[in-house]
Amino acid sequence: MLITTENLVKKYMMGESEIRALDGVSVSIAEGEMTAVVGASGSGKSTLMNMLGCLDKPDSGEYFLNGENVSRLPKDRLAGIRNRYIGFIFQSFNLLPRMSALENVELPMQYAGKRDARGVAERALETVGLAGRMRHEPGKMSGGERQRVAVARALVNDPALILADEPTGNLDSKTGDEIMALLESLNAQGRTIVIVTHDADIAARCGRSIRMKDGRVVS
Amino acid sequence: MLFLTIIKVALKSLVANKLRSFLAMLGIIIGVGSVIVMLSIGAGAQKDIMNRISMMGTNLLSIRPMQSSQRGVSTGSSRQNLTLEDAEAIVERVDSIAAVSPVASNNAQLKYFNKNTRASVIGCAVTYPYIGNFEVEHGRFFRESEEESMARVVVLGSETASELGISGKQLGERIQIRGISFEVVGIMKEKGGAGRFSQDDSALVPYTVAMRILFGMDYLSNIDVRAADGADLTEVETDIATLLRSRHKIINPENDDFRVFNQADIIQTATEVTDTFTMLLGGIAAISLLVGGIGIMNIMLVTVTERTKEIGIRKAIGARDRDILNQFLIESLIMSGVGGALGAMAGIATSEIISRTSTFSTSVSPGSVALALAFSAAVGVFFGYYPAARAARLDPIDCLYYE
Ligand SMILES: Nc1ncnc2c1ncn2[C@@H]1O[C@H](COP(=O)(O)OP(=O)(O)OP(=O)(O)O)[C@@H](O)[C@H]1O
Ligand SMILES: [Mg+2]
Repeated sequence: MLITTENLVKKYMMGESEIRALDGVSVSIAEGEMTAVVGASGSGKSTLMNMLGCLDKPDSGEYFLNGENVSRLPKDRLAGIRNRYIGFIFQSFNLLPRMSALENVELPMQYAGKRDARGVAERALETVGLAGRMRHEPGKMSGGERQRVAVARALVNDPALILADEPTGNLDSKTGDEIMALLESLNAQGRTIVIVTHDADIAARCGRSIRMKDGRVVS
Repeated sequence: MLFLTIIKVALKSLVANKLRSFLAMLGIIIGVGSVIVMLSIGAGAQKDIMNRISMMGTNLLSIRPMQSSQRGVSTGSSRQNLTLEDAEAIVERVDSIAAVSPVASNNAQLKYFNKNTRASVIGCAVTYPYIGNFEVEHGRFFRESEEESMARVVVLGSETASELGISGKQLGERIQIRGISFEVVGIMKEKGGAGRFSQDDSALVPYTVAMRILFGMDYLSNIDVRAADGADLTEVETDIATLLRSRHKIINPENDDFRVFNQADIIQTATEVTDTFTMLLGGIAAISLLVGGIGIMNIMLVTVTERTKEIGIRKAIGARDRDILNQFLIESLIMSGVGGALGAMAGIATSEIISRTSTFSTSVSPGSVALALAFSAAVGVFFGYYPAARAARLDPIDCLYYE
């Protein structure tokens, strides 16, 4: 199993009352799977994704990534894991302004201390079909193009796991389809992909769905 | 590579917010600029003084009366202990001496028709111009015969002459010093300098006249000596001191009632004064540089808040805390560095303008520019650290969902 969680709990205090964003989540995802996470708004999907992406730590429970318990690692180790093993794709693209597409895609490799980042970034942008837009800044690109840049950025360090939180949420259905096709082709190459979505069609295109409700996995 | 990208992005955001960056850097620009200007004025003053002192010649010694430190209560009479006989003894008994001039000086009122001025009237010997490297511009210096016959003749300093409205054409006219009539035989060439380094505001008369007729002194203000070229100055100094000690019946040198000054002493006193002055000015300017640092810190805090989301994104794709810290430190260093460079240019230009348009002379040393730049870089790192450390500590989730 690439991902195994045991009884993950994440609590938030809202004034007097306690919200359990995650209330004992145990899931397993095998390598090469393409999994959808679905559920109503506020059911804890994003919280779970952040946990799986090592951006957040659980209040209790364990998270094994590729067999290693990462739930209580120090911050710098987690940064290294995010950098090398995980690629993120967000609903709002989250590209850096004032940097070209190419520079955005190079960044994860620079944090990894890799050389020839330029060449790898160029190839990644070609893969997502942006060969002609490399020098553009995100502000001058369409939503679909921006999300492609984000996909390229998620790819460059050759991560085992790609996490996408509503990647098509800000796109029209045609562009959304294109991004999905891109993710499907990555999955076909053997990459494990987890997608949060509200779209039943997209969920249907994934091999498996995890349904959440009130911080629990219901199916 | 990461380093290069950081610099590039930092420069881009500097340029993107031109006005804001300029205002943030203004403190540093003014700080660095004023440090450079102040140090250049100090260095210029120092150079000036050195030039003037060295114009007097390096072989010059001056013996001045001192109150002996052992005597306790000081009395006016203790300053009346250098005599004409002391000066004569130095000529006769000390080797390697080129010339000696007794000096008896005091301030006095000078009058030429309706014009009045106060000047330092220096009674000296004919050797005086030779000892101090002074030159006569118009007319002549007084002669030895005039010295012996106590002739009422005067040679005016350039400034004194112009105050009285006397030029080369009025030579031979008579002026009044303390009500006594003197013939103007010459005017000295301008030497420049201010205060005790200037001789331009003086009037030179034979020492015989100064002592017996003008001031009624039987003692000397000082004795000026020019050592022979190539003489060992320390040896001459020691010889003079030994001679005067035996003449004044002093056994312990601690009880000396005189002191022999050489050029090094005079230069040292002058340097001490200008050094203090320079440090004071530079220190005040450095404070403004420090204040400039606060401007940078302020803008960096704003920048960190504005770019919270960016920090979250960078952390999500693998930036460690220290990567974020370095990034913001480099940005603040660039800001203070660019500010420092602009300030250095402004400072160099300003001191050039000052030296052209005012009486101050300035001298920008590469050392002072380097010092100001290093200081501004240090200010950038120091004041950039807190905002950068704050950015580095932020939680990635909080940043990513920051609106
Ligand atoms: N930083 C936070 N502080 C307080 N409560 C939070 C915080 N983050 C999430 N929550 C709460 O945790 C619960 C789960 O939030 P989460 O973002 O995981 O939902 P979601 O399933 O992703 O919803 P959506 O489909 O709207 O994105 C919500 O009730 C939310 O209000
Ligand atoms: Mg969500």
